[in-house]
Amino acid sequence: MILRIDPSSGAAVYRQIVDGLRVALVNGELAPGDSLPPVRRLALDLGINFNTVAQAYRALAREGWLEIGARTGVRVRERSTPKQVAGAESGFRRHVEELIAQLQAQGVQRSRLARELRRVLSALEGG
Amino acid sequence: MDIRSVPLIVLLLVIAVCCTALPGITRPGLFFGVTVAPEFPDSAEGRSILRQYRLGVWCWTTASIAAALFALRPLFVLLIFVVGFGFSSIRAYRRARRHQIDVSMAVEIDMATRPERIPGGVFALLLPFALLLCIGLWALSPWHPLTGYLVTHWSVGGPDRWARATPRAVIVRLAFSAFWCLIFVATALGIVNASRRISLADPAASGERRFRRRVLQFILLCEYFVVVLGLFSVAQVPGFVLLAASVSFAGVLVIFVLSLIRMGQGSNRLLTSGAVPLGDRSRDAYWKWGVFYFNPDDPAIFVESRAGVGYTLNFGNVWSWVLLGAIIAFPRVMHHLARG
Repeated sequence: MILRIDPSSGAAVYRQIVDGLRVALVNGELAPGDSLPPVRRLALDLGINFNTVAQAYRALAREGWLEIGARTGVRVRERSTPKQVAGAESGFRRHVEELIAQLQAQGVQRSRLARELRRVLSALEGG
Repeated sequence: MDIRSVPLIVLLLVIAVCCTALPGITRPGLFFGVTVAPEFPDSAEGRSILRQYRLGVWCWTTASIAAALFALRPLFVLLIFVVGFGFSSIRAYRRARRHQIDVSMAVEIDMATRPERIPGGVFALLLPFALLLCIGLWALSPWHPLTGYLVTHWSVGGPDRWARATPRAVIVRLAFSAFWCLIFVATALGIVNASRRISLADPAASGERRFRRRVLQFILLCEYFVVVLGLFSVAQVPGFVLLAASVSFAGVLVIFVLSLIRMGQGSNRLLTSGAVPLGDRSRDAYWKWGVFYFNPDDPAIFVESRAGVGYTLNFGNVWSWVLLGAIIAFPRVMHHLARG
């Protein structure tokens, strides 16, 4: 599983780590029982502070995705599907609209955005 | 001409040849430590910068050789060369910086955990200390009477510092070897545990593992050579034996360096999975004069060098300064202790 971080994107690095890992966790690229790199190793490979990685791992642990142990390291845990949080759907639409607006402001064509969204939707429906 | 200056002149010529080739031993997209367009080094301006740099290197080499011929002290001769080489490099760097390009600093990391091990494991790292202990016990035993002098330092022309062969001198000499073994151990552990891997999915990641393994093998070789030097010093072997050992080691060192160049440093062995460019993904702003890496936010102690092969220190990390300080200060301390 490849994790991609762009320090110049404007988004907080720890948020990029959380979002990137969450995508892999939801898609099943990272399965329960899989080990993740230790905080130190991931921080070294990304060239960022240890605390940033630790913060990201803790955030995912709070969401129930990861198990962090001193001896066992960082592992993906079995996670039951949580109840849908009230307002999640409207929040989702707002996030998508904001993302589309941001990308259009950066010059990405509407047609390309539509194409990418169709591709993601196809993968989502297929899964 | 003083015949003793011949080895120094030969050394200067070898170093000058290496410095001449150095700009070519770098990663695609780097030119004197600056991120440039891949086609820039072959442009008219790029060739002009290279030409000026090489001319500067050989002019200063000539000045150093002239100084050697006038029988100036080797340290002063080397200082002339180092200053001149630094001047030529910085001038080339500043010209190259005018053509610096901005590239994405995005990083791609393979999340599959691949523990990295030192060749031979902890045993290989610690065995030299056990060997030094055995050498010390033998040297201080009744079967090895201590007479004459121990060589404590070698320069280009051969041994240039001695200490009377006493138990204290033996202990200090072997402690000196143990110190250098410790430095090599720290370096090996630092590369495994405190350096950034430019790791992607196979086969690129496999290539990088092989490169790092070769670097670790080289460090281990240096560690064991230090033990051999310590043994030869304490055993008071003739000078030609020591010379043969040093020449042999230099030959092995050249083979290792050539193999590392052939393997490819940094992005030479990388394949990108998307739009992420080749390179070490560190910003040019962190590379002072294109040579010294200074990034306090980077936890790595060792980073891949932008010039030549191997690794360099992250001078923004305090532990790098601790390591450097120990390397500079300890030999002086041991030398004074040896002289008693």
